[in-house]
Amino acid sequence: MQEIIDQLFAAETRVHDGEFAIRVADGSQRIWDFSSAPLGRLPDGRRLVMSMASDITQRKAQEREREALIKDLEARTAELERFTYTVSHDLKSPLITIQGYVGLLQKDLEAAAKERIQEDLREISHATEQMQDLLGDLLELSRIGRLVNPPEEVPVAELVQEARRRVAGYLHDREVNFHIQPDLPSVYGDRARLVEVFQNLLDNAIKFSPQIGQTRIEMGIIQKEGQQIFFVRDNGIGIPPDYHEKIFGLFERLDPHIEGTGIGLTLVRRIIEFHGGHIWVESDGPGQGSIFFFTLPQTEGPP
Amino acid sequence: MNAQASFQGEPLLILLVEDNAAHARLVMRSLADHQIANRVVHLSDGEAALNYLFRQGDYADPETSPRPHLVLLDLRLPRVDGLSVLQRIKNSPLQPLPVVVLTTSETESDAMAAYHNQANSYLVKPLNFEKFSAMLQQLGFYWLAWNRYPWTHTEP
Repeated sequence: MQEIIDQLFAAETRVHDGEFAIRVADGSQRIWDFSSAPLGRLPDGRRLVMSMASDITQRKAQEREREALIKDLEARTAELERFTYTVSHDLKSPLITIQGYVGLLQKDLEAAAKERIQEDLREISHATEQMQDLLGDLLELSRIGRLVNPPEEVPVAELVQEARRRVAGYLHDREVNFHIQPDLPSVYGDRARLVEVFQNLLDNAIKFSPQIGQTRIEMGIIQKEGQQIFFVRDNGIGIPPDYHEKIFGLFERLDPHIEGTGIGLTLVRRIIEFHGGHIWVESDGPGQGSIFFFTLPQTEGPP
Repeated sequence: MNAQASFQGEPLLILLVEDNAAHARLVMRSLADHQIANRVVHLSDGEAALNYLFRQGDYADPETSPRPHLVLLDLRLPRVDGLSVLQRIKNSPLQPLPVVVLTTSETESDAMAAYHNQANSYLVKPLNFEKFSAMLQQLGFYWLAWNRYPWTHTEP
């Protein structure tokens, strides 16, 4: 103690002692901030020291909250940067194609090469369609942030049924065996958006199904640590581990030969996260099929 | 004048790694118009490019994977991205093989990453087709006619 007082008088200024967690009378733990200062001497030579303590528990909580908000903002800014980068890159590609084939078209017209002219026109037309798709997808993605429909209680069975109806159009002659678990619960959210989740997952399961043999798609629910987790399992081409996170990225495509802009899973993740859930994929790699797991708010009502 | 002769008696081969099919056809047509190479092998993802270059999987038989004299590499590729393909080439006995990055990305960090990984050149696809075509002609000349290699083509 004497030593501390010596130090204080040597410093001749207020000293910050630090923050201490102290349990108070009601049993709760509070954080206190301590500081001390030398006040001078009494006529008899004794030294006077003032020590102050203030309860900063609330301030600390606010600081933590602010830090979390800053972190969140940083993550969003980084996401926006990635988004801008991807969009500028992906929108430039069809422009290069269009300009390129317009250039070739001029040459081919001079040479009156009919077949080549047709090919040039096809490429130009295809690139403009591709650009239209990309712009449509971007618009779709921007809409998710705004709730279009008021949230409601929706039986998952209805969502699956509607999603199946929509994908049936492009099954063509492909044989798909659906195994849907009976007695699926209800979830709480935007019905139209939630249908899109199931539609995109079924769509992917079909698109990435094996070329030979039957496509089998399973949809159900498992319990894990008190949480209900939905799953969509397929016996398709599978996903290498390096891609388990990447496939959810904007315009990321696993296979360039399979149609699509690479927005489906980005949409799915946005919708699920907007509803307060999360989604991930498990797959043992090529040829092993994939399982998409996701959570959604259950029907106890709005969170 | 064109670069199509041959390289030390061997036909010139370019490996084009590009996932955008329309861009790939544009590149191949421009190269053909300028008679740049005898043969262009086009692969549309990074994994296939690595299998070809390191003679694995579908390309295990050297008959199916003759050595290219030049690699034209896009950066954003499915399965294995362009940067990883570049890293694998430059950290292997194929290191002297010239790899020209051909991309739509004008981002500095992409160019920096490519050069850090020993890309021989970094080219941004021009929007204007005249420039696109002229660029391919010039790069063909430079790398296939003027540039000297430390190996004869049958190696390594």
